[in-house]
Amino acid sequence: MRKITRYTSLAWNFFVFSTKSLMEYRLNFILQILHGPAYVGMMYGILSLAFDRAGELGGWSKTEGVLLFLSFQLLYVIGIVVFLKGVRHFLWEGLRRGDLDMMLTKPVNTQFIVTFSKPDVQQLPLLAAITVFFVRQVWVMQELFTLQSVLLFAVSFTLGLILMYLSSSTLMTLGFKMTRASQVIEFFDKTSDFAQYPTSIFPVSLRWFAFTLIPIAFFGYVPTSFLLGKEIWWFLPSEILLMVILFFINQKAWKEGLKHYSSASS
Amino acid sequence: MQKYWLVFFSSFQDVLTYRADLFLSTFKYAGMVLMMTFVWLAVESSNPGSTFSQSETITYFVFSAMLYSLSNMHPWYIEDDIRLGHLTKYLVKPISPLGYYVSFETAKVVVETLMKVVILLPALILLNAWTPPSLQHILLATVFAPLIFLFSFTFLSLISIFTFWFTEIYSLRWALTSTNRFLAGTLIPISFFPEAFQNVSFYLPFQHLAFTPIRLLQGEMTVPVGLQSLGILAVWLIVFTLLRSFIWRQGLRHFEGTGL
Repeated sequence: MRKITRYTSLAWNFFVFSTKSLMEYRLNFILQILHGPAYVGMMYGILSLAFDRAGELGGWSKTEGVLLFLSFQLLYVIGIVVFLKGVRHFLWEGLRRGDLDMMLTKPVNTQFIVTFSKPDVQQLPLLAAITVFFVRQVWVMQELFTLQSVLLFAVSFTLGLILMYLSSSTLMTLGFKMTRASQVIEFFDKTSDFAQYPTSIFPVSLRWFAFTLIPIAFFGYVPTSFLLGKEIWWFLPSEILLMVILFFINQKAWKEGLKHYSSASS
Repeated sequence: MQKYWLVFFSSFQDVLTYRADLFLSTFKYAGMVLMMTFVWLAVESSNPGSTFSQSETITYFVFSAMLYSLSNMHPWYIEDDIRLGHLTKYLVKPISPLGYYVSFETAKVVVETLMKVVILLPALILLNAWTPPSLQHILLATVFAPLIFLFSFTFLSLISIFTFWFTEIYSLRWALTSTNRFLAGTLIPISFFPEAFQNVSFYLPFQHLAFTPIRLLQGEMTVPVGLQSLGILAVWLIVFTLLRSFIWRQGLRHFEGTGL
């Protein structure tokens, strides 16, 4: 219990520190919040146009598609705010500049400090906006949901977030092996964009990837399927199984990576 | 001119030093654009009034992936040079900073575009998915390539130059890159948009960065319309070049060698 309190307090301090350093330049802060909404707006524009042309995509109507879009964006922006910026910083410059040396000297789990030390506070307004749109969409469609479907959605959504953390922080360990590995996280980022479409529209071979190696189906499609009662019986067991497998791979990759790391940047 | 060639070759060598990084950076965007093929194939198969055939959709996005490197760049180094005061090293030498930057970026763009052309074009031909249009169409589409690059670089470096006044500008640059991607037709063919939008879009520079050359390569646009589009893009390039020069001069007045 003490450990949990200590790490929660540490994460909160990272958050407060990031907010303070961002607010130092307020005009910059205002400019920096532009990118997220522009990108989400563009992705929504594409999705909306796609549904307007097709009527239905992969067995999903436009209202269902919008719910899937918002559910994925909610999960993804939480990921960005909490840990994805840390992952990106580590791969772009943290590892090469030797920031890891400093982190290794601290009496805190290295993986924790790497992933949670750079919360993306500037995306909080975007997170708030997406939450409002998501709640509104759920409200509009409330007649379709049951208590069971909402609970299953909550479980699947949480598992999806954990899977996103595990897959991104496992990919991050490639940084220990490559001199310049910044594009690894960008590749993950770009692939994740396709989690906002019903996975059923992709060919079977790509669907297999989406449920295993790059588990983007669990970032939006699976949780929303639970909410809409469109789930298949193996969704939840496979989500749990994948999480367990990824956890072990993640721990192994980190141990191996740190063994490989030669300090003073690589 | 020779010094800019040297910058080009030095950047070329730098790009080729980190090959895994180059491969991932080239194909992350190509992959993103190619994945859009599946989205639009699903859309068009469900749409009874579809205007795009299956092969047309595939070739559209393969060409879009190929051309994307020409308009997708991130001149963050300009922002760093201004912010950290590194710009001084160019100002005290007989070299134009903007000339240096454009030579530096050209190498990366050339390598990335060639890599995609070498891999994707034979794939299109081998799969029999693309029937080459007339030589005039291909030549005209090729003429678009340097203009697409120059316009995109001018546009994005113009945004970066605002670092003279705002310390961090990357978010605005990213926001405009996303908008550019949307309006250029990289992820959605412009012909899927409402007609009123298409009419306005023709006179803006963005659709000529992707949609127009792709339709030329597909043989779906006439050469006179292509030439008109090329003229529009050239005019926008001149306008943005003049604007950038003006803002650059204003920014330099604001600059101190110690950084901002």
